[in-house]
Amino acid sequence: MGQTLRRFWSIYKQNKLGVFGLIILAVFTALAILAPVLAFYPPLHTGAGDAFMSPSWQYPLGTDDLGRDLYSETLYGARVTLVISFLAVATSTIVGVGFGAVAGYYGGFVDSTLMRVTEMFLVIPPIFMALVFVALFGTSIWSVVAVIALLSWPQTARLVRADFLSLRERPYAKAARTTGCSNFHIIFFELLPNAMPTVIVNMSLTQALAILIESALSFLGFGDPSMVSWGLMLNNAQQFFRQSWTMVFFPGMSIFLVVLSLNLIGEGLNDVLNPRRKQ
Amino acid sequence: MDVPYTINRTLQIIPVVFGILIMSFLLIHAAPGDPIVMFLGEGASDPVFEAKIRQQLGLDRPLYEQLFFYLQGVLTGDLGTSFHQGRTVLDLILDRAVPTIVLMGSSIIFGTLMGIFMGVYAATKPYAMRDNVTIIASLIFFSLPNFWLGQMLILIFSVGLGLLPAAGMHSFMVPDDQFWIDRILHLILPTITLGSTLGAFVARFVRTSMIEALSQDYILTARAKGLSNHAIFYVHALRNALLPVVTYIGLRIGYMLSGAVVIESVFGWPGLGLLMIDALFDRDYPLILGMFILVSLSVTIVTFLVDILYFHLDPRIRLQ
Repeated sequence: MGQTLRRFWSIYKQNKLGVFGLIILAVFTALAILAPVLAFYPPLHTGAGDAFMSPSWQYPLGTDDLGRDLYSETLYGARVTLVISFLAVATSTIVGVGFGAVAGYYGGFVDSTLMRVTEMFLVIPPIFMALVFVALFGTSIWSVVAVIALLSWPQTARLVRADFLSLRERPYAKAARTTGCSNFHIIFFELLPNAMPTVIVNMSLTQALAILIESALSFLGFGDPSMVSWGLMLNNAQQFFRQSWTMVFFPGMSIFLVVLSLNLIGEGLNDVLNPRRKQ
Repeated sequence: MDVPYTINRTLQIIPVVFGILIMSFLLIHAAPGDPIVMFLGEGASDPVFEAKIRQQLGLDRPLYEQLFFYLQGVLTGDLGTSFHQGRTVLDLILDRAVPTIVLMGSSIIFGTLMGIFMGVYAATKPYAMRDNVTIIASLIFFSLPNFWLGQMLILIFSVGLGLLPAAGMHSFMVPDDQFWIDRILHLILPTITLGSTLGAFVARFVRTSMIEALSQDYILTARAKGLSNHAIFYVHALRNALLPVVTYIGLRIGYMLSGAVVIESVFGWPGLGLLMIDALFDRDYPLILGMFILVSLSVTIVTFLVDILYFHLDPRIRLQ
């Protein structure tokens, strides 16, 4: 295990941008975890200072229209964004891998039904679907997680299916079948480990997408209003362009950096895990 | 014309279309909250009147009957009447579709030009400095949340420099001779916002397909004939590289529409996106359902047409 990791790292570190992405993500994760220690005020604490103050030692990123400290708000916003996107990716990966593996392994009717279902999801514009879902089922973080998972599992399923279509014809799969292994065993213990490179690269890209969808939803006013999130902060900033630039700049910059880091990590992982696809 | 392929592809979209219709219907009915209560206002209604309205809207019938009538309506072009605005859903949508189509059209033009320019620039010297810069620039563009890009553009160009209008589709009072200039000025920032994400994707795509095209035999032939680099690039390679790009743009229409919903809110652009947001806040079920269906169907149809078009334009796929 240790040796595998070392070999993995020795290839990964050659991609400078991938390493840069990993650092950004690590910093934001640390900030999110340490938010209660690092923040000056609890989340949504109004009247920490006057309204629309410029950055200073006391308020490093300035204050918003209700005198909330933007530095503390941005720190707590990292928690919501990272937790929601992580849960959404975990759910969508489990569902997508399950469906994709079954469809690719068995083929036939199961496969063509699944392909029609995923096709249906691929033509529905994601934000439309997300808005309708969240507006109907409430704006809790659980419904946001559910809708992001609902929107992203078909992509995972298609990729895994494509891998399984070729994996099931490999000699070791046939050998396992001949020695009387159950289909369950073959799918999850023989084939799935070989489809993991695809799944892992896809996870980082899906998480980037999840963060963009989550922040767009809360920006439009369909996020969880009881929690600070970067999208919600930008929604609020929309009315105060003339009073404060920090309200617009910092939450958006945070979203951008985290999404960028995930995309960079995705490229880095791709170099290590799918060397043949590298151009 | 290869008839079997066209027919086959047409048959494939029928279950997708019905799937969308049934799913959206069930989604709306599975939701908590009674549309009648929203319609009449919380606790304000008397039961007799409520029952009458319920009957009028067909909400008292069993679910499968409602679904049947709904499908019947959709197939004859009747999407129902908005709860709130008292106009037919189709009317409302067609009214608001024009601004969205204008915005999407200008963004597609902008994004395509930006993407081709960046992609070709990178492909002229693969793996050199300019190539890396282009790749990083495109990564930055598709990591930007598009609504934030819009907000930053407003902050810089409208609030800071005072060059361009921040919101709306036109000014309140415009002299006749400035009508078009006013419209175009209002279109610039939303177009850049919506088009640049597309541009980033197109740039990567053009780059890859240019590099591939440049390695083909006909390029070698062109070089052997002594054609200038310029001619080889723009006449031979680019033309062949563009076909997949056109298809690709067609396939991104759904994402563009998604982006438009968010960007319309940033710029107060009076299109389908703002209509959708209003409908959602009002729980205007017929309008939500109608928009959801029309938008998904248009994307399905565009995707379908692009597929067919590509199949007929590129003889190479028919051989596979």
